Formats: sequence, structure tokens, C-alpha cells
Amino acid sequence: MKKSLCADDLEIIEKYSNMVYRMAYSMVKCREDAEDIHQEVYIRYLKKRPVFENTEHEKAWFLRVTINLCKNFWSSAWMQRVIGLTEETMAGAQEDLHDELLDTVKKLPKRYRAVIHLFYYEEMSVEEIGKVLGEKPSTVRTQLTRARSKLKELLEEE
Amino acid sequence: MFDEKKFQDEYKTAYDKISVNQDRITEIKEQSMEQEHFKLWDVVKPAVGIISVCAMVIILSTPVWAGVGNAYEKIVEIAPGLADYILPVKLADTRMGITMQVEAMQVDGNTGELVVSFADEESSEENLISGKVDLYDSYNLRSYGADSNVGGCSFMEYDEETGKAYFKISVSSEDVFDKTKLKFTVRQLLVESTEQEMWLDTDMLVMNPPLKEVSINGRGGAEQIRELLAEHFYKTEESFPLFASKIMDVVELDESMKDTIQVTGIGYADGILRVQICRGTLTDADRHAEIFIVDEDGNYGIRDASVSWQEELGGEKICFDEQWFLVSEAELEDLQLFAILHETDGSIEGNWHVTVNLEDGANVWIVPTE
Repeated sequence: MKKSLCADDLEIIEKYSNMVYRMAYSMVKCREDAEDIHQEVYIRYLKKRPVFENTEHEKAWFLRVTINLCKNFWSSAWMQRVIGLTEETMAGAQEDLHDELLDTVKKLPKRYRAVIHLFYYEEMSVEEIGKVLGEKPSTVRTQLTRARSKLKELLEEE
Repeated sequence: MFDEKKFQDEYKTAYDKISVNQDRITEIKEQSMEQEHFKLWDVVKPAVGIISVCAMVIILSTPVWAGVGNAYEKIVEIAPGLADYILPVKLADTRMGITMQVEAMQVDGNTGELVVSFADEESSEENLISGKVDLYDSYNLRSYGADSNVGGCSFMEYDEETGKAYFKISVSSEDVFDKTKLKFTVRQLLVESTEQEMWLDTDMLVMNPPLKEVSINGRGGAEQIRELLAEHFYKTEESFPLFASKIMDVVELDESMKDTIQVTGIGYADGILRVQICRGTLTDADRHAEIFIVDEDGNYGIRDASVSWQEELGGEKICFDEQWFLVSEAELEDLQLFAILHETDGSIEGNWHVTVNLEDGANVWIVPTE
């Protein structure tokens, strides 16, 4: 491990911070957990110092690590058994739904959240999403179709 | 019909507003520069790996444990040192010139109380905490090691002598708190907070006031009440994907509304008593109102539902709420309305967090030490 950060590291931390945070938030739905995951992504980056072939590779690495950490977060025995107070006790949380669209998207099953975010926010193609998620483009296409249909259902329910 | 383009625009707009706290980025940079951190991790990592594997084996091979406990409790039992490494006790946190400090705690069976304070950092010459502080909806309580918790946080007092603003956090669980840690996080402090209590002039009440349709950006109330009021929330071409609703058309916007909170109308129609509040622009401030109906016996009741929306004036958005009470026309006769208007002009984002071991506070009030 290098003793200090080089200019490139600082630039990378700044460059992908919001992207990583938004990706994490779209999956774990909680600001604090998203911040923890955001921090963990950078700790991993600084420990591994991966060498990137190009900007696309760099971006895909950060997205993939973020998504994997979110999946780890969901599947950890700790998180499954601990019923956090986050959603139950945030004062006023039920009072003011500041963005109902986000609340609706948050109701999507976990498996669809990443594709929705990568497609609609990061504006990635099905092929690019496939590379990030390690899935075939046809699988991504199917997930997107199902996610859209679920989304339509949820929006109509509201 | 699912309008994909519209959805994408709305989704992007919503996410563009979400950004990571700059402090966290600074924190990462600082942490990364501390070589010791990584050295420590390099030493601890193998031990963590081995202990985690052992812990998993024991948990998975012990049905009673796996069935009734939780992972955190197990780790505490097997490796208390590891549990503390994963979730260290932290009794004070200083950020943005403000220190959040655990002052005392008590746990009795399945209920617990914590007192935390906010004060200016010792070396600070600024006077950031100088009166009532409001956390509004920016706090978060999370417990590790106990199931089915509920909790809340309320302001206690500001002590001029010590310059500390105190809050009480109450938490309760279905089971006795044992080997449980509680993490309390505050994202944003609202300072320079004032509140004004008043009886509303019921002469303002207008029967069957004119209504107008707006896209609402929020609605509140219990699920059952919302179902009861379902016809009042619907979608239109303009409101998609949000809801539209009808609110009292009783306000003429003017500049003075941007930086104040005021009751702008009281009306009654179709079984709903509406109290409309203008909250001004909320870019750097928070203003909100608590409205109560008070019956002839002096009983206070809170609103059954609420809607919020925004009106545009000179490129700025002015926030409005309407609080709805489901009462019959006959009941109106004996009702009074009481309001508490909260106004906060300054906000400080800090993401302060403290973590306590509830077990340390068993049965007695204690003043914790690091």
C-alpha cells in the first residue's frame, strides 16, 4: 500500500463518488447504508489499485464492485436477522414523501433495481449492463422487460 | 400507459439531487492516507477470516442458536473483540465544529433510553448551538443484536450554562436488550430554531372554499385513512408519475411568503376540515407546522391526512401543506384549532453518529466514559 494518495487517486475518488453513491442508494434504499457501501468501494479500490484499460473499464469496475457489495449487504446473515429501525422510526418519514417516484422504484424487487438504474440513469446499453452484471445481454433484456412491467404495475397501483 | 421517456426524465432528475456528503469523501481520503489503518487491517484480516468461518460453522451447526439468536449476538459470544472491531462503541463525534456526545443511558429489560447532547466543539469560537436544535426527519436509529425494535427521539432542553442541547432517544424491543448495540446517526442539524404556539382564528373558516388541482409532492396519514380518501388522490397527465389532488384556492402569492411560515386558509368541504400552511422556500431553512383540533373537553387531535405541494414564484418554489381532519359539520361548532409553528433558519450537515452498547447501561443511569 502506498503511503499517500496520488493525484490520480484523488481524481478517481471525486470522479466516481456520486455515481457509486447513487448506485448504492438505488439498491439498498437507505442513505446511511449507501454511505457505508460507498466508503467500502473506495477502501477496496485503494487496497487493490486495479489497472484499468480505459475509462469504460474503470467505470464498469466501480459499478460492479458497488453492486456486489450491495448484494453482500443483502445476503449477510447479520443484515437478514437484524431488523433495523431505519424505516420504522425516521421521524416524519411517513409524513412527507419527498419523491414519490423514488418511493415507487424502491418497491421494485431487488433483482430489478440495478438494471433499472444502469439503464435509465447511467444510460448504459443492454450489452454494457451485461458486462457490469456479468450476465448475458439476453438475460439483461428479459430483466428489463420484467422490471418495466412491474414498474408499470406499481405506478398504476399508486 | 408507461411513458418511458417521462419516467427516465423524472428518475434522472430525482437521482441528480442525491449526492454523497463531501465530508465522507474527505474522510475516505484521510483514512486512505493513514497507512496504519491498512497495516492494522492486514494483521486483523486473517484473524477475522478464521473467526468468521468458525462463527459460521458454530452458528450453522447449532440449531438453537441459529433459530433464536442473531449473528451479532453470536459474534459477541464467540469473539467480543471482533464484535467491537466490526461495530466499535463510539460515544462522541465531532464534525463541522459540533460535537455529538452520549451523556447518559439506561436500559431496563426491553426498554432503553439515551441522552445525547450537541454542543459547539471545545476549540470552536463559533456559536453554532445557542438554543433549541431540531433534528426533524434527519435522524436514524439502528440497533444491532435485537429484533423488532421501535424507537424515537425528542428534544429535551438547551442548557445555557453548558451550551448543550439535549435529546432523549427511547427504544424498546420485544425481547430483553442483551448484547445489543445502538447506532444513532444525525445527518443534519437545524439550528436557530424557534416555535410559536397559537390558537387559530376560527373566523377564518370558509365553508365550501374554492378548490384547485395541483400535483402534490407528498402526502401523509395512516394507510386506512388514505384508502378512505382515495378519491382525493389521482393521476393526471401533468402530475404523472406523482399524484394530483385538490387544495384550497385561497392564496395570492407574493414575495413575503418566501421566508416565513403562516396559516393561509381554513376551509371545510365534504367532511374534511382543511388548514393550509405556507412554509416558504425551504432551500436553507426548515419550517413546519403542527396543527391540532381541540374539542370542547380540551382533547387534542392530530390531522388525519396531509398533502404538500409547491407553487412557483419568480423562479423559486414556495412550499405549501394542507392538513386534513375528518370531522362532521356538526362537530365544527365546538372545535378549536391550535397550532405550533416551527421555524429554523440555519442547517448544518454533519452526519454525526454515536454507537453505544446498551448492555453497559443496564438498569441504571450511567455517564459513559470512552
